Amino acid sequence: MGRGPLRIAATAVLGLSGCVALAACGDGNAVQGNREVAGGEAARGKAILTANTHGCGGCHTIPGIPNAHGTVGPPLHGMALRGYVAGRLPNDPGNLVRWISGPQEIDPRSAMPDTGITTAEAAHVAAYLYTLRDIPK
Amino acid sequence: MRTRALGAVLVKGGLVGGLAGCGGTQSALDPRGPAAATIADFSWILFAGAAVIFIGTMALAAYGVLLPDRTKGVPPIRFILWGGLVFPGVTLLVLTVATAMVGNAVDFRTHPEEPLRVTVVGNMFWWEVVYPDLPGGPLVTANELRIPVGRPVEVTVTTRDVIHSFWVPALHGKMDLIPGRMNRITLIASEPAILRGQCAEFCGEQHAWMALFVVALDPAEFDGWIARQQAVPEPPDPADEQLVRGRTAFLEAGCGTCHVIRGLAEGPYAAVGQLGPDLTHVGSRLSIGAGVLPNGVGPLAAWIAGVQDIKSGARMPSYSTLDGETLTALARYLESLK
Amino acid sequence: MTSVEEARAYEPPPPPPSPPKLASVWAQPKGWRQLTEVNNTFIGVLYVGTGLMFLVLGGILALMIRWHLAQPGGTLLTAEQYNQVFTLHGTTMMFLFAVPIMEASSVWLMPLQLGARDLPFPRVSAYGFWCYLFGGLMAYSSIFFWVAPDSGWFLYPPLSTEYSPGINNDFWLLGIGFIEISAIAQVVEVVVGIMKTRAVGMSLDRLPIYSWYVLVTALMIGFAFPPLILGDILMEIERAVDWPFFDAARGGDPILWQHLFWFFGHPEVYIIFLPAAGLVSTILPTFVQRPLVGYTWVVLAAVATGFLSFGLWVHHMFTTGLPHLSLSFFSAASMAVAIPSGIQVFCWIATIWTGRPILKVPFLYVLGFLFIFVAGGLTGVMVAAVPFDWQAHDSYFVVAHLHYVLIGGMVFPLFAALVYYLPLASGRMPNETLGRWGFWLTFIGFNVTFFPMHILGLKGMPRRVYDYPAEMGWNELNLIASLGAAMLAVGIVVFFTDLCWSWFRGPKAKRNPWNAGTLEWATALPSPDTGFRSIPEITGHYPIWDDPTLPEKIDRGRFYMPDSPHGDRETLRTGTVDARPEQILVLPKPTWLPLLAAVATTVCFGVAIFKLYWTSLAAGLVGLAFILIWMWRSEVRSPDEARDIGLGVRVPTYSVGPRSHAWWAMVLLVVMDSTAYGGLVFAYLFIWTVSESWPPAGIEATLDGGLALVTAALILASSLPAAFLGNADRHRRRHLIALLLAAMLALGIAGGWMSLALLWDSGLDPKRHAYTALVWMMVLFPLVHLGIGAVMAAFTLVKAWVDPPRYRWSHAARNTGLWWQWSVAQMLFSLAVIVFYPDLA
Repeated sequence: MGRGPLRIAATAVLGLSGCVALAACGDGNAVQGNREVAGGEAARGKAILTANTHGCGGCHTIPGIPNAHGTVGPPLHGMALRGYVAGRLPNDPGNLVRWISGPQEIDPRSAMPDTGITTAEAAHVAAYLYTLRDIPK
Repeated sequence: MRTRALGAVLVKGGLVGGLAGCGGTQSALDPRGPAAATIADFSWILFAGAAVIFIGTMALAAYGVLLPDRTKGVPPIRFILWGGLVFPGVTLLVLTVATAMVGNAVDFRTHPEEPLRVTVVGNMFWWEVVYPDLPGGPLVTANELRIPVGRPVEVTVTTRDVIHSFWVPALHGKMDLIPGRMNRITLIASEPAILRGQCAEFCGEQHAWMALFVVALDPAEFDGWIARQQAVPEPPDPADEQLVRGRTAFLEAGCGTCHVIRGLAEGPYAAVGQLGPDLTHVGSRLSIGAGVLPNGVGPLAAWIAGVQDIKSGARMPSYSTLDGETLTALARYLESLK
Repeated sequence: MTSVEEARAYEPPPPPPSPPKLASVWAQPKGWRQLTEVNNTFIGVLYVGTGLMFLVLGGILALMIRWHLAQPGGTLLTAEQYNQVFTLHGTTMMFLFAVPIMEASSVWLMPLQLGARDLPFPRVSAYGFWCYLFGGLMAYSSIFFWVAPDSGWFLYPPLSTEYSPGINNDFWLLGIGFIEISAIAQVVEVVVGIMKTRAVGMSLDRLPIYSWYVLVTALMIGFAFPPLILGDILMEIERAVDWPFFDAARGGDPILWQHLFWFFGHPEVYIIFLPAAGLVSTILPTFVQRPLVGYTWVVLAAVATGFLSFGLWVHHMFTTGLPHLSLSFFSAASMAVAIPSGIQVFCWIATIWTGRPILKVPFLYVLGFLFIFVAGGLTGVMVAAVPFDWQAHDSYFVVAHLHYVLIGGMVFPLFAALVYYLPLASGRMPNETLGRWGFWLTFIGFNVTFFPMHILGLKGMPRRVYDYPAEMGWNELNLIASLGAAMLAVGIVVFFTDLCWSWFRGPKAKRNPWNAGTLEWATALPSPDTGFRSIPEITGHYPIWDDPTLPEKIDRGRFYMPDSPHGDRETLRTGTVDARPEQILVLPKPTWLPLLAAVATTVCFGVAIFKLYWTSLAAGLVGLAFILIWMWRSEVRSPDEARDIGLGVRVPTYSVGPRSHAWWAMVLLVVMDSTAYGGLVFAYLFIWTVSESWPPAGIEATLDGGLALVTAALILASSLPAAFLGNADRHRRRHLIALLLAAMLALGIAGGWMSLALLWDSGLDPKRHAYTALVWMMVLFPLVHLGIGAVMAAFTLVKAWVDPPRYRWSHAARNTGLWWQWSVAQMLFSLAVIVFYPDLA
């Protein structure tokens, strides 16, 4: 029995089916200020974003939400760490909920529309966004 | 019907898992019309028969493996003759006849009632729905087929590009949309419901997001819907600057090259394009992008600015060059087209 | 004590060394020259190994699919990538794994089971193998650059034509098309091998059951692949030069492709299943230590499956809007095919009942096969019921069904065979513990992966979707399926670990370790390159159980051809029906030619993907040159006309006509080719029936009847000299042969020119309409055949004229005549159909 080419073939099979190790990373960043949203439940916020009723994921990439891969607006990684909302409001629960529920009132020239989301829903969404602490390197 | 009751028990008992959510059922085991119901009954009978035969055959094999001393002396040829030839032969003969009978039972072409005629045209990756012979003239809409409960609906299917397949599991089986051919399938819905259907023949990059909603309505409600859809939408209230701006933006951005909005057929930027869905009453639809997003101002804005993020390979480019105010106005204007 | 127990108790003495000449002539070359080896024991093992490599490669794609679909909104792949991955998964598993590995198994196992030293055309096997390896790697490698085919493994137009302008689908059409040709080469090898190179006394009614299955399968490949190759050619022409065979806007029909594809595609399932069933029918009796019950029933069932499988392709098209009557016919036919399957299942169960099962790993896989295959067969009957299929078609129910049938029906028997034959190939025993772990992980993992898909399908989930909404109630079942896939993958890794480890490090196997009854186990372990020391005379289906001392007698050279006194590689050709010795076949020795020809062929097809047609043509010519050298070195002239094969028998070393293996090969090729041509005629008539008028309205140009008559007359005249080639050869008049060939060539070239003039003169633009394109094809197809015939004729003319001292040219002359007459018949038929028939109709 010929061993030479068989060995070569066996090595090739092993090489081709070999696994690629993935590097994992992540570290904790300090959160500035209050991130507690009154009346907001992160789990319900996640459900609202997943159902995509208001189209959030169409414009934003939102970690943890399937099909939220939009590039129209900014990605929402690390929302808990950001300093400003919409480039003008300090990032605190009140401002974030206001912005989500009525961006046109804060900035009529913004491309982000009033989606018809209620203040209660916006609070849930904000609560979910404040669970996001990782920013991809 | 009893078999379906058993099926329902199994479904509720969790064997078959949870029911579909707010998007409308898409399950062949949750029928909402006589054809799908008959096929579901037939499926349960087939399944039960297959299970019995499977268990029987495995029991015979297991008997031979586990109790080898008991199986000696069976004349093998008789065993093969009865088990391998006569039994399957008779079973399949019965099944062939049953198949033909079920096939006829779900064929409503000879239904005494005059059907509502609808044409569904496949596109990569959305559905055009046409009601060609309504009293008030033809009606064109997209990704949504509204039908009256109880009346047969003859759906003629064809395609503008590649092969697609029309499938609303809760009403009936599939029918392919083939270039150069007109296939027909007749549906009946037995109760008011929102049903989801989906393209079933692989049609390219966004085959997964080519959904269609069937809304079965009481006949009176259906007539009302038709009347509203046939009406040309009112121009926006001049006092609502955002809506006026949205309409202007729609025309000036060139949306009318691909889309129709009835009532905007005049002028240098007429909305008479035939490449994309008719948007005359887009605000009244359940979804946008053939099921990829629910309807609403937010999703519309997202869709306009980020089609290619949401549904890469769709035939519409992302209009992220519109300024923010224009984008939001445009989304609100489209949403207002109820 | 029965003879089976006697065989178990009998321990043959260690085999005496082979005579030095026999051993040296079959010895494998060393080092890099090992690549020149054409012997089946070498090529067969590489071939099986390559098949397993593609199983792993296809499996990695499957795992990517399951990973991506584990939850809605999967992010592993983009939509575009997902479509490439699932297309290449199906393509790899069907074309690069399932069919080739079954051919590989038969190339490796068949000679041992038939008692041959090798199959009759070792260079063809080697060429076929190398083409498969290179073509497969070429097609698969497209995924590394994300340019893999992405229109599904079924490549439906117009998605695959007008709507896929990239080179992706060209990888499919050219890569796979070329592997299909290598599959056809193996058909010739295997069928002629079974017909002609059996052990003495192995009459057709004593043919090993596996060989019956392989024979049926090979003939099925021969009838099913050519129409697909034709379809590939038509599609590639449509893509490359825009002839609209499938374009509805110009009179073509996308449904035509579906017919051509599924006419192949359904038999394909049985092409994969039948050899696996043959392995089951071979392995199962060993583990119950009793002969297979109902040999004749099983053979008839296999043959019936082969026939029926060609009558049910339309059940893949139940939703295309066909008339109800044809739906009923094909539904009934699809169900009928369950009957031969039922017969086989009951023969296997009856065999289990007659014996006392030994639950070793190969038998576990056989039982696993029974479980999964019966389940898959029953869901197959369900989808044959038309109304049910309207719901199940193109849903995950079908994904579940086809994996039950194919993994259960083919992979499990294959795994059984890999473990079972490991001692024969490597001389070492598999590890029972690892084997059991591998089996249970594979078996449970398989069911956890695929059972939920039945339910998913009925709950409305279509196939081939890269994503699904989260609220459909499909999430849990998808997650379960993905977890099952991980388990299945672990099982397969454990299985391969056992296989690889045991191959090199397993305990040495004793002779006939499972106490099997079939002939292949009569060799020493591992099976030597010579095959059998002497070619035995056998008297039944289980030669070792019939005569437990048979291995010893073979070893001691008690039978035919115990040595190779002339220093040639030889095997015995026996009568097709009665298997009496008729001739010594002198086989080729190791040569670079098959490998070089395969490299040139790969370049020829590979660069065509990138539209480098001139380079492609040049590579094709180089490949042709290698093949012509190979043909020149065929038909070895032996100094003596007859040789002693032992036991007082002398047989000739050469034969021509229907007794010879060369004649059979050519007739087989012509028959297979006729199904490709039949596919073309079908295409013409099909487009005719879907057109309102014929020729279609608006096409004024017509074919000139007078010109057609002249063409037909010239072509017909050229077949006259071809008909006399055999006669001239019988009288050994080589100059007359050269003259006849020259006349044939002259008339043929004139006729060929006239046929082109006919097309030119007609003014029919092939890009304009499917009709015009098909008229061109109907002429070009026979014309290409005549062109190949012309090359053969020129080659034979030179060979006969030169009369090389070491080689003959009788087969070349006679086969050229056969091929030419077949090509002439095609051309005449084409002219009749395209020129004269429309006027009559």
